[in-house]
Amino acid sequence: MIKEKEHIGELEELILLLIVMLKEEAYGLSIRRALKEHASRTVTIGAVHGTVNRLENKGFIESRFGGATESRGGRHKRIFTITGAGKSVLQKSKDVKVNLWQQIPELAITKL
Amino acid sequence: MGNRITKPPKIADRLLSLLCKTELVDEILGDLHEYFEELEEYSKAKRHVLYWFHVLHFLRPNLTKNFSGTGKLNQYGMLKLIIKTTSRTFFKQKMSALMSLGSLVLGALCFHLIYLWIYSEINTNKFHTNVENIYVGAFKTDPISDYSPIILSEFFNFTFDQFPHVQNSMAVHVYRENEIKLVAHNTEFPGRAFVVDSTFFDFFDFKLSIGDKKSVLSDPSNIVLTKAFAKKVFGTTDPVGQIVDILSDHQGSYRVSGILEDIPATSSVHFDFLIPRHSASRWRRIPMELILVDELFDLDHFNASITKIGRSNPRFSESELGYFPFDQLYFDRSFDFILFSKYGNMDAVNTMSFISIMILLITLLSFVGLQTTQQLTSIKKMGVKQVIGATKYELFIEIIISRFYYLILASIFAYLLFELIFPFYKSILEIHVDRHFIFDITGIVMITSLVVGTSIVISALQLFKVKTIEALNDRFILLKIPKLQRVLTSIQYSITIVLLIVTAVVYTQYHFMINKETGLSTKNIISVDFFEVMNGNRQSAERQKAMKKHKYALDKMKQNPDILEVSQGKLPIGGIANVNSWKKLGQMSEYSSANNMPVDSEYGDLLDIEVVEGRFFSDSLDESGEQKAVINEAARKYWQIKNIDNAKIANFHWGGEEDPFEVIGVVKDYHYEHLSKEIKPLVLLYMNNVDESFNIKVHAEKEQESILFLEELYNEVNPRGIFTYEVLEDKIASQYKSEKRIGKVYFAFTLVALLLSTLGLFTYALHETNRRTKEVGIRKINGASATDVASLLSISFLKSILIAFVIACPIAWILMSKWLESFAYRTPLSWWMFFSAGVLSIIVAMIAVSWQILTVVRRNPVESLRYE
Repeated sequence: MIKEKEHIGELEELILLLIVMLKEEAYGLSIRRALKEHASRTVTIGAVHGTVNRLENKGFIESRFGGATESRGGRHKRIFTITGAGKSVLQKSKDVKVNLWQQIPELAITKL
Repeated sequence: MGNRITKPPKIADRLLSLLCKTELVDEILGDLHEYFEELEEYSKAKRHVLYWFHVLHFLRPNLTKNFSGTGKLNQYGMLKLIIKTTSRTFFKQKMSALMSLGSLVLGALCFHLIYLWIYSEINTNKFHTNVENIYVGAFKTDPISDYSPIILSEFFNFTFDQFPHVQNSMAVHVYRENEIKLVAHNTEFPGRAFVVDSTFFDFFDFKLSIGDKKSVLSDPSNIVLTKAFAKKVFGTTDPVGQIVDILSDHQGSYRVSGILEDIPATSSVHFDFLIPRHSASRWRRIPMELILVDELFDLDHFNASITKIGRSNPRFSESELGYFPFDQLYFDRSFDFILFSKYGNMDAVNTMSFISIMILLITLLSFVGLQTTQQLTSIKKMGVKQVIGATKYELFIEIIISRFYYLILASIFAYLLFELIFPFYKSILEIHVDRHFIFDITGIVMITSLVVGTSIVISALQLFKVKTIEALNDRFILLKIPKLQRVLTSIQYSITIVLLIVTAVVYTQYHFMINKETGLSTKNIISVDFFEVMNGNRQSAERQKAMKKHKYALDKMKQNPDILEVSQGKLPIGGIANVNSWKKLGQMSEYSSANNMPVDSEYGDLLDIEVVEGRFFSDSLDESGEQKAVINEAARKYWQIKNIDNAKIANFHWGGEEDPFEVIGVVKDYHYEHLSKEIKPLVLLYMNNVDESFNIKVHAEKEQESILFLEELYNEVNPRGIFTYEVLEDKIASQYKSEKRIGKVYFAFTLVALLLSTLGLFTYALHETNRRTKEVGIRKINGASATDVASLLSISFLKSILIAFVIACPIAWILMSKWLESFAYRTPLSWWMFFSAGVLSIIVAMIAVSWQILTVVRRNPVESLRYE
């Protein structure tokens, strides 16, 4: 069972998925870019940072410093990678949804 | 090109570095700068806007810094903690918290109540957009008499066409409640009616809810009712289109075609319905005239030209014609303007402003005093917090938040109380005020914010002055209340004592004035206006007929055993006597002004006027209109008449020195005007005037029967008229209504001021007694009795009040001597007013303080010594 604290929100789930997808390039701004591109979601950079910090506190992702570029004014990126806990929470979230979808015959048949 | 050089705004970066968690700043700024690069294609301004937008979105709880010294708390947690501790202190120090709240609520409430009244007084009639361009015509027959309003253009037969700046004119006949009736469904409704020209709505902005402003008064068969009056007459049925009859000196049928919104309380012009003037050829009431002018109108020049026109009439060669600004009549009262149903009193407005400012000051002193005392008691807590790591800035935030508590609670309570009290305030003090929710809320919040804001500033000063080490030192418990606050308490009490003395003096003066003997017997006198003013020739048929009726009515009255005296003339009420130019014959001096009043031979008996020399008029010896006069003692003194034999006085207009008046008697001085006015020289002239009102003295127990009898007689003589009567005592009493009312208002607010000051003293005492608990214990162990200690403690409070008393007395003395100067008959400033104000404040203060003193004094010394 998923414990109460291990629930993740929709934006959190999206960002977790994107972190997995972006691999070595998963830092704040690139996550925002990917959100716009793949999920048509426009959020502020602050919102992305808020979410990743929250995810890190929950232990779903971890971070390390990446390379600095000139456009960043010589500042480091923070690259995020998913943890084991993160993977399992994503899996659980997916299972719950798939399970629900399958229990609704109308939706399963028409596939919308 | 240029865009590439553009750098992100530095202030934004600095803001983030300051507020965000240090470990995150690098990453955040990196991302932001990269983002800024991405925006290359946009204009500079847009880039900056977008950049700022994102920067501000970084200010969120889990990204910003925490308060220092607290490992896990960020601002939100801190805020929660502060709110929690504030509520705890609030409940722990119930007494002083409640008192702070109470003084704030009371102060804001009273200030707002007074402010509301002043605001509505000052804005009376100001809602008409044209108010500054309206003028009212009036004239006086000679330079020294008083102006009376009248329709000048008709009276002197001129038109306004020759004056390009006069845009419009209007005549208004006013019919008071007892002079006109509106009949609907066979029921009569008395009401106040204005008979007006169709230009009425060009002058006044009364809102029509039904009907068109431009046309509704053009049709002579239309009538316009106010909403309230229409409701009274028609109830729930739709009044529009109903046919009503008007019953007055003119009778006719009208169709209700317009309904007015209720007249605002800030209007001194008041009426129930409007009748088009051209619906009848003649209205009996004398019309008033109003003109509407444009911006270029020159009043002085205009009045000069009008006076010239007036003087071209040989009968009025001495007259003066003038137009008076409508918006100033309310306070000036240049003459009695019948359109007005109330007048303002600038003196009362000024006094109320004074009181409201005093109340605000006392509230301020009281609240600030309470809060700083409370802060003194919690100074150790602050010291501990600082040692743990809180900065003074954070403590300051805590103070602000705790005061906000008071601000919000006080505003809510003050508003609720205001809602509760307002109806009483309005009815008891007969104040007419329209209310607006937003206006009331903002008014109250502004006052509470002002008081709370000041207390925050003072507390902050105190906070930054106290050294942390001192706060933690044991010595702090002995921290004395700062000198400043002792001074403030004294100032607060001085203001209160001044207010108390003022109230005492005002009260005594009004009481003295109202209960002063007029020198007349005014009981059971009824006045009825039987006959209308007749312009006709003395020999005309109309006049002859009226004389016959007059004799008939007079005989009938004299036959009735319940009627004791019948006289015709003016009643001794303010503003009735005419000012005229008189001089003593044989004196070298010029004519000077003196009052005169036409009376008949019965007048002396009617009012029991005492004759001190010579005789009063009598039917057998004197003839109406003869050049004979009875003067009062003031006049005898004024003209230095030692012996009335051969004494003669001349009137400038009536015969001059060639045909003087013979003085036949002197009457004892009596008040024929407002009692505040000095009795001025008065000349009574013998005049049997049919037009004058009948003043009838009736048997004390038969008043109702007599009124019924008079009504019947009136209807017999004037079948078309409407019977009305006035009772002299009521009329006299109504002259002093405003004084009584103002006395009440002063009294109420002074009590509030006393209460507020007492609240301030109470906490002062609370702190002082706490501070000296140990001292009291030691004294008691060493043999001091409870009484000794109690008196020792009391003296420190008494000192502040005594100092306040010493300051207050001379101030009150000067203020009240000045105030009393405006009265001709004044009560002396006696010692008891000052003494009782002082004693009252001491007693109330002692009651507030003694409770605490007693708890300290009665405590077992063992406990007191173990205390702390």
